[in-house]
Amino acid sequence: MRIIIIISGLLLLTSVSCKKSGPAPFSDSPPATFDQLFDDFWNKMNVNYLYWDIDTTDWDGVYRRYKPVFSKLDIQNDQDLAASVRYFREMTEGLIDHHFVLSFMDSTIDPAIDRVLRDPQYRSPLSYLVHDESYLDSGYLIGSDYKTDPANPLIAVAGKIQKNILFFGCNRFSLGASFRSVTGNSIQPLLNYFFSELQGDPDVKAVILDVRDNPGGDVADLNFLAGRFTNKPVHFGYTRYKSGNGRLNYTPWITADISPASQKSFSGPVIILADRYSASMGEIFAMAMRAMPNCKIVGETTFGATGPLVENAVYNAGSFNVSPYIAVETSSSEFKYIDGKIYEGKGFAPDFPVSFNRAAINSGIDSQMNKAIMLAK
Amino acid sequence: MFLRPIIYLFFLLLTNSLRAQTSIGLEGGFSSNSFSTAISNRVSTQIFSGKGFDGTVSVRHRLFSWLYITATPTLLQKNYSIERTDSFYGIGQHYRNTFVQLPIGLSLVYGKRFRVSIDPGLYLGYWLSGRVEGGIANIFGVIDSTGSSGQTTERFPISNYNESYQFQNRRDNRWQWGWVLGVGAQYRVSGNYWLIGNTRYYRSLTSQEKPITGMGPSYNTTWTFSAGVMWEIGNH
Repeated sequence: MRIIIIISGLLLLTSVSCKKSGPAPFSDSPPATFDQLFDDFWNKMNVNYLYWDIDTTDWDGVYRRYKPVFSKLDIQNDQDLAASVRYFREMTEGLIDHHFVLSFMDSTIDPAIDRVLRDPQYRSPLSYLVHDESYLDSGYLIGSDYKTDPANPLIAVAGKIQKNILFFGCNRFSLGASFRSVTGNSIQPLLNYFFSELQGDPDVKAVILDVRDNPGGDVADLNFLAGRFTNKPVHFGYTRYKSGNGRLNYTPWITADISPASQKSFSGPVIILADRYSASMGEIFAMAMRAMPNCKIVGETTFGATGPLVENAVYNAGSFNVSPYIAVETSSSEFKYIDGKIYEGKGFAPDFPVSFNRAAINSGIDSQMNKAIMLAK
Repeated sequence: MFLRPIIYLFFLLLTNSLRAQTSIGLEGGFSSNSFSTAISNRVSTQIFSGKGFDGTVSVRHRLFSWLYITATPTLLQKNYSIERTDSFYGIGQHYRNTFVQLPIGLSLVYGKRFRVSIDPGLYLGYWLSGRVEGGIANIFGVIDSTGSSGQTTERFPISNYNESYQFQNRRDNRWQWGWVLGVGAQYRVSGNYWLIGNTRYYRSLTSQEKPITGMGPSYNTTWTFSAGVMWEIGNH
């Protein structure tokens, strides 16, 4: 099997030598005017944005409407800078990529979060892990890692519920990195406990995995964690990538599988707890696990950010900058689930919808967890 | 009923004319295509020309001893690859595109038993089918590892594919036209039979992809090298 190796976090990727053909559709030099800034952003969206096949945003209409508007703005004028943020917000508000975030030096545009905030059913996020603890038998483990990625500390909980239901939950996905960390952390013994119970304890009849309020993280965690549940590949969907600069230049769809990482498959019920803040790897993990015949999802429809992120150089698509003014985060690949549907911007519905009830949770009753335990028995 | 003798006379004259002035050839050979598109922004990416086949039926009708009009319906491939280089080696896509084209032009001829010709013209082409074969880093196959210094390395397995190109009206210009310039040689073997060889250069004037503001066009330029036989209908 051929592989390519990427040393993460190195700007080397963008400076490796290359032979190039044809002129670029945009300039690499910093824009000196708003007119140039608009052109660079608009053209880089053409090239790097993944969802032009299904996005309903009229990007050519955006050009016709906003090109003359930006031509009149002065990039040295503070009022015009503020106005430009408003225009960028209008231009991008309909984009379906729920990873899309446009960052300026002092402000951020996040159309997906804006939609969440406008939702009449809006609720603020809730960290469930502390509430999960009340359901766990004594002796459960809490792990944390503040060193591997200090900006995004990892917290995880593992234990048993009613003696034979194995439980695992984490606030984000960077499990593999913490597990391999050479500096040591309490995630490592927690994961060792979870894996040994999953694969070696015959008393474990079911598993509950909590990815509620999990915003995602490292894509490699999919195989690292989901792979422990199977001894053969599990087909869960397809990905495709940009193959050229044209809006609709795509590779064919590539099969997406969970790679096995266990000697035997876990055959008992696996219940995933997911909510509207399960995003990116948080929901991809749930969707991938759901492709296993013994898995069901309980909770709410997920966030709808299903396109994984990696550095732009890997696929020549996805996140990009218009330096020094704008940084754009956007999906690197398009993901289609095994049922042939794309859930980007929509979210993945649970098998067993259970409404969020903050008052009940605060009084110690987690209806979603209760439903999961009922299904696990 | 009075039309019948007129039609008969017309076809009699036409047939005699064709016999006296028309030749038909069959050629086969290979094509070498270059694809030009704006990709210099794409990191470690290079376009390579591709080889394919070429089959042509050439019909030539004499106007003067030195000038012919020609129609050369052609089935040919316009292949190319877009490959990643450097640390991304192994990622790329090979395109095999088959076109049917109808060039119409002139042929300026010099010589008797051995003749050479220059053949300028215009062509209309239709993109019949395509196939894409390649490999891409599979994002869900990524495996991270951590070195002793704490540095993380990501390993992406390459997933390969080989399937039909899916045309999209929003993206693809299947009708294309352009100009063609050929250089040919013909050698009379005996009677009405000639051995022929031709080199043609096709330059598309239609972008393969439908235009997007700010994005340059994507053109094919194709060389063909072919050899075959030609039969003169009647004696000159």
